[in-house]
Amino acid sequence: MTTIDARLTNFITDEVVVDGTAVGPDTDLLLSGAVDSLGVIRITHWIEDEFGVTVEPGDVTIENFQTVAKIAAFVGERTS
Amino acid sequence: MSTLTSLLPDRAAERPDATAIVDVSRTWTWAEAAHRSATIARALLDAGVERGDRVGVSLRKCAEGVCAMHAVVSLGAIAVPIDPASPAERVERIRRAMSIRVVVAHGPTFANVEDAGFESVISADNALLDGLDPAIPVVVDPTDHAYIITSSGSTGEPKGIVHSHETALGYVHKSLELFPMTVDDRVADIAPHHFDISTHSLWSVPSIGATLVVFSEPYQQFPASHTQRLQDEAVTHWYAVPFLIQQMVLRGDLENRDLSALEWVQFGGEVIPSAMVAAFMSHAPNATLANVFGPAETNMCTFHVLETPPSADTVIPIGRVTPRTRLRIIRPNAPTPELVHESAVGDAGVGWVAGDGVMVEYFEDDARNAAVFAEVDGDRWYRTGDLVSTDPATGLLHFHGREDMQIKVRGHRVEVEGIEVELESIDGVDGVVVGVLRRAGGEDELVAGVVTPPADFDPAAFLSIARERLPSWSAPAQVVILAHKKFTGSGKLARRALRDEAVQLAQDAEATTVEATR
Repeated sequence: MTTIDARLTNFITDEVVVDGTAVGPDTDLLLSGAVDSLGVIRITHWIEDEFGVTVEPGDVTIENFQTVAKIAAFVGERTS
Repeated sequence: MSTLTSLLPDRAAERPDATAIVDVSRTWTWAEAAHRSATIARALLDAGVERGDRVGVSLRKCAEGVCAMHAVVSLGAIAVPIDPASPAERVERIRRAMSIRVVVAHGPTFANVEDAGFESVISADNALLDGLDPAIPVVVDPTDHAYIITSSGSTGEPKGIVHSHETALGYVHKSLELFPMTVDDRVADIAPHHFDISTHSLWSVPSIGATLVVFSEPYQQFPASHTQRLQDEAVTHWYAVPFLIQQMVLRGDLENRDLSALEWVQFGGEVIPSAMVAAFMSHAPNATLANVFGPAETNMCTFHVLETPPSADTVIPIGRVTPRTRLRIIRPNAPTPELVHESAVGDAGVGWVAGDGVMVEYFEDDARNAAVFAEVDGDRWYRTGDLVSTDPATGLLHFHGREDMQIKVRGHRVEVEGIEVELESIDGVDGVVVGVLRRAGGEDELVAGVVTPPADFDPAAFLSIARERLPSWSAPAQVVILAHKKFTGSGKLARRALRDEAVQLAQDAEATTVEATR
């Protein structure tokens, strides 16, 4: 796991997931119901603060937010 | 066509290889959809389902969900769609209240139904189903019951809104007459099946044979993906809650989308700021928008087509009565909708509705049925509990909220929902609820709860704008920030819960202040 992955996993597990779902890098956060609409907004704000990236409305997509690995890839792309 | 039992096989006979359903992962032809439906029906028969039985359907948005609903009605059984996000105890209450033995579920929903006490659980996404011998639709009477929409009353006990084949088709014919559709159209399937808006996807679309484009739940959470799918799939017809229009305007990246394929956009179920509708219209150049209105008990009973973008300071009317529907505006305390009880023109009264889309009854609830139905002037009228009025200048109908939401502040009757719409038109906020702070022996006050505002939100400025725009008695006295959005099972903002939360926060804040000044 990369650092981004690990930090994201910790944040999502500790702060976002409400029902105790175990979150791995490829867990489908959306279909499993682990992350709701509010969770998406909180993740967005968190990665903006934590990694200093700007997330535009057009970036907040299912493709970018479906799994921890995908969010990490998105963040990685923006910070590189 | 006089019943819903054979819509899928009929379309399959006409155009077997045409596209019926575009799901997220695959596309279904009419022949495939009809076959899946007929095999689910076979599994239901094998589980002992008989004509007249209630069958639960607990599925996330997917093609199999459409097939399962058709499978149930094809047997003359009665489909009871269950919110797939419901916890097991809620599912169990619905199972008991509606006496359901068999439920159709799939991977994401097994956990919700397995502890709810059903006798049998049928898996809708099991490919083994395809090997079963397809069941043939039975012949039913148009007055036979087809589906039940459950809603929780104020006590939380589910009440069942029973529609027959006939009342469902009453809606289908109205919707197709007002919002025409051809086999070439592509219709967004957004609303969950336990929400009455889905009547359009489930029954109107297969009546014509247009293509359904499924928007699974994540598309409600991701407005930019929602608009991308609208563009990619060249969706022509869209019908959902106005909250989604608002989300598309605010977060849908509309500047970078081509929505020129959209022809009809229907919204209904809650009120929406006019500015949001106007903004959406500017990005959907070929779309005509329509506000459609009617409780699940009556289906759509009024509609208003927006020819031009509404100006920000107007409230969108609910318009005119739909074909084969009658509406009377009756003084709230009158027991029947006789003409002598009609409200004066321009005054708000309770809407009573008669027509071919009105439900059969509340399931096994004589007391409630006696309270809401009245036979008058040769019609059977349903008392909606919605407050409506006719604008004498335009002849158009307006909605003023639910009768039970009416409250009084300083002797003035105020409509919380109307105030919410007004406050939501203030720049920089997109969800506002208004609660009433009851004061023992003093004046009640309104509390505005702003839902997840931006970081630079200024409560003082918000209050002063509110005071400029609203009469003094309907302006909120204070504002609190609600840190979490909450939604109802059907995807609407959970206003009732959020209002309570706003009032609670205001009370907590006061208690803390009193404590601190001691």
